[in-house]
Amino acid sequence: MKLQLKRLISQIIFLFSANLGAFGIKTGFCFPFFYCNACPVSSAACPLRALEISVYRVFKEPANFNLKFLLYPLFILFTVGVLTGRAVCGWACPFGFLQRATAKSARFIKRKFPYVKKLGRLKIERYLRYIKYMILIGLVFITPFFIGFMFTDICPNGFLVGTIPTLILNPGQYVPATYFYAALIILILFLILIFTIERGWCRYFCPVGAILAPFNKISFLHVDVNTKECVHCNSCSEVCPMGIDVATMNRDPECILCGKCINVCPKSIIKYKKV
Amino acid sequence: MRREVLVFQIAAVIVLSSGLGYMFAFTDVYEHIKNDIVIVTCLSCIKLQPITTVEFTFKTYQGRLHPDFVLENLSKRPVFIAYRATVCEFCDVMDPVLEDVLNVEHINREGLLIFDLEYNGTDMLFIHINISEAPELYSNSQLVYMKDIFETSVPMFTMITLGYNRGIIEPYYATAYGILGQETFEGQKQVLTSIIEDGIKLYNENKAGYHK
Repeated sequence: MKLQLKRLISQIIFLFSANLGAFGIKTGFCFPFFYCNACPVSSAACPLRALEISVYRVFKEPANFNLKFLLYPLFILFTVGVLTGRAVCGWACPFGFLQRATAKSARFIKRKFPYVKKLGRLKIERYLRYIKYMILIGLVFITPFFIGFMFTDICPNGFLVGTIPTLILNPGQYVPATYFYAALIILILFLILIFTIERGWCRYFCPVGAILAPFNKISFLHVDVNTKECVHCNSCSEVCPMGIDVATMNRDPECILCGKCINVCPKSIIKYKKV
Repeated sequence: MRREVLVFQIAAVIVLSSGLGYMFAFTDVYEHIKNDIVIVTCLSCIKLQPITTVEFTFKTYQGRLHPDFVLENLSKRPVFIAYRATVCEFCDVMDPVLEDVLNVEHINREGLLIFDLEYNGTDMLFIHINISEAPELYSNSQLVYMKDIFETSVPMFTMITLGYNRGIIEPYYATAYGILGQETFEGQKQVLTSIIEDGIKLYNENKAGYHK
């Protein structure tokens, strides 16, 4: 079976399992990817929400703070990170799946407007990728502690799979709350982003990706390039949804192990390695 | 170098999987995440607040039985229950309103607070339940009084009183959610006061016929 077809099946299975709440299956696990427990049919908790709550307790409820609540989501993410690196972003995350669906539009824009391609090659682009680490530290760990404001208050994921279905399922029963309009603006920006930049959310903003990214350096599963035999045709970098220079990469934190580069390499020198 | 990485990988997997195994086997963290995050509809997460319509009803959610701690007290006084979660933006807004309406101090995030109070000359039992921390006996009572649209959203307020149901006096309750559809402290206070006063009025009208 072709690799990309396997990936598609995997993404569909994970999307389905993330929504098992539709069949009454609600668990105490945390998703190892970016998905929201505010979705009426979600089957597990958002890891960011679990982290925020434990950080929030330190400040508001020090007596009820317990290290296990902080470690639990982190251990789940770290375990997945050590085993597969960011493969969950490419193979499991429903938001990754959504961005796979919008990739065609982003690629069209890149083809049609050459300056977009040039923008992607600017030196500053590399630094923009650090935004996700800032969001992770700032909105998931710092603001919940000091002011109670959390990433999930304005999260586009929550709006897309939580707020919108809730409003559709219960028309006329709810009115907007404090951060509704701020979150709506962020959702619109998010949609513009993913339609114009391939995997734009994963590249620049995803806090779960920020947690998993460093694990690419030490994960069992990774993408290996035999640089000695590389002919530098650049086919791999052309198809990479994360905009990585694949030919020179060595366990790049941005790699989501989607395998597109493996498919297009004319010399078949890019492979998955398991240790 | 590869060998060192492999040793590190194996050590990391052992430490992490043991840690997770320990948490699943010997702590309540799984249940806590399930009850506190997955099952509860967090209103601040969905960035919405319910439009509150306060209606007294005899019919509990899916016909569930009233909890014993409610029935035991209902023969003596009406019961007012406020549900919250440890981390809940709207609960933090509503706790001062509760303190003001009930004329009590220091409603906090503790798991469970139960006390008698006098409201306009009538005894009433006030129960404050933090569903993240309270014993299941109390936190599960939310499943009896919730509305099917909003389910286990918090904050949730339930006034349980008595009503006349085709010849029988039975427990009669009203549930409201969130900031009660009001933006201001005064508005929230007014709605909460009206729920409690209606409940007390009904209780005083019907208590003589209640036999449990």
